[in-house]
Amino acid sequence: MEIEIRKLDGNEMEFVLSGANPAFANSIRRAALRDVPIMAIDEVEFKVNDSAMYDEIIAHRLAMIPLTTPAKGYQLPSECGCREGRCEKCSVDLELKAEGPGMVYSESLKPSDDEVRPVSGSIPIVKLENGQRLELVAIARLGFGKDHAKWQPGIVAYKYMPVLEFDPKLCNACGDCVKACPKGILEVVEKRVRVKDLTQCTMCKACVESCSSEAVRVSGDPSKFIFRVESTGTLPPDQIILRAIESLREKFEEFPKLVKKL
Amino acid sequence: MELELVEKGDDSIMIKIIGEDHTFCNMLRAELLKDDSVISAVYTIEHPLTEPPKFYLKVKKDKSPERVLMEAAGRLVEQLEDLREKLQKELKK
Amino acid sequence: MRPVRCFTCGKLLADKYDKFEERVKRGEDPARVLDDLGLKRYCCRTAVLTSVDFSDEIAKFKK
Repeated sequence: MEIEIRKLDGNEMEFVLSGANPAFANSIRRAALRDVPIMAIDEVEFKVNDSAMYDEIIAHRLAMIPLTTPAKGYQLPSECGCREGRCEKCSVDLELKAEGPGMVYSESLKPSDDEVRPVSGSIPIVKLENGQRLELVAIARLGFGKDHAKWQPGIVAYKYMPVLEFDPKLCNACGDCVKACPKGILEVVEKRVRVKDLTQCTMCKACVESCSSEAVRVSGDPSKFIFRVESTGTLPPDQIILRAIESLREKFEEFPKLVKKL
Repeated sequence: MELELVEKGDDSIMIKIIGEDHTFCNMLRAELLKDDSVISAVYTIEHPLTEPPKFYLKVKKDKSPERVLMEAAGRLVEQLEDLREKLQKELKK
Repeated sequence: MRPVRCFTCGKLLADKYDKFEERVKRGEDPARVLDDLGLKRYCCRTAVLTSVDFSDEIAKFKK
C-alpha cells in the first residue's frame, strides 16, 4: 500500500492511496467523517436574550460554528471523571456579552482556552436592535460526527484513478474526443491522443461516445483512490486522516481481545 | 465495542458486534475474504437504530473461526500502522 | 437568519454572505463572486445564492 500527497494547502488536501481495496478506502473515509473527535458548542446557558431570535435558534447557530480543536489536552465527556461534563478537562467555556444596535459576530465569543476558538470571527450570530442585550455562556465539548453534524471535521471524498485507453489500431487521431471532453484533458500529439491530467477525468465517457471508431475505453482502477479532504478549519486535513487511521487501528486492536473472550 | 455470540460451530461463527457499523464490518469482511481458509464472510445490519451488525464467518476445517478473525484483524492493524507511518513520512517532505 | 453551513456538505458559509451581497449589489456577476469566495460545489453556491434573511421583518414582533 502506498500513499502520495499531491496537494496540501491550508484546509485542503489531495492524496492518492494505492494498493488498497474499496472497503479499506471507504472505511477511512467513514472514519474521517464520523469517528474523529473535534470540538463544538454543545450546551448554552442564557443569562439575557433580548433579541428577536429564540434561545434555541441562537444555540443552534452557535453549535454550528466550527471551533478549532487542540492537538491534545481534552477528554471525551464520556470518559471524563466529572459526571456533569463541565470540568476544565472535558469542556471549554465561551462567553458572549453583547449589546445592540448591530450584528453580533463570532468574534464576540471569548473562550476560557484560547486554543478552542471559532475558525472565523466574521460569522453573524444574531442582530440586536438598540438596547437589546445578549449574554450567554456556551460550553464546547469533544464529540463525534456520527452523533451530530456539528462534530464532522470536514468532508472527505474519493474516486477511482481513471484508466483511459486509446487503441492505436483504431484511433485515427480525428480529435473528436478532444472536443467532446468537458474537462479538456485530452490533446492530440503526433497522431496519438494524450491525456493531460488523468486525475481531472470524471469518467463521464463523453470521449467514448464521441469516437466513431470505438477506439476509447474508460474505466476506473479499484485499487487506486484519489482522496480529497476539505477541513472546516477545526483540524488540519492531514490530522483528520491520521486520526481516522488511528481510530480504525484502535478498533482492530481491540477486536481480537474480545474474540478471545467469547 | 462489545461482542455477543449468537451461534458457533466447528467451522462457523455468528457474532453481534455492538457499537460498530459498516466502518468496521466492511473492512473486516474484505480482509477476511483474502484468506483462503474463508468459505464465507458476511455481515448484515438489519436496521441501524434497532440492531447491532451480525457477522457470520464460515471457514474450512483447517483453522478455527476465532483464529481466522484474529488473524485478519492483526493484518489490518499492520496495514493501518504501515499506512500511518507512510503518511507521516509524506508529510515531513 | 442565513444558515451557518451548507446543508449538503457542511462548508462554512456564514462568513461569506455579507461579502457576496455587497459585491453583487455593486454590480458584479454573482457567478464570479461565488467563484472568488471559494464556493466550487453547486450545493454551496445554491445556499449562498438563494438563501433569504428576513430576520429584520421578524424583529418587529415580540418574542
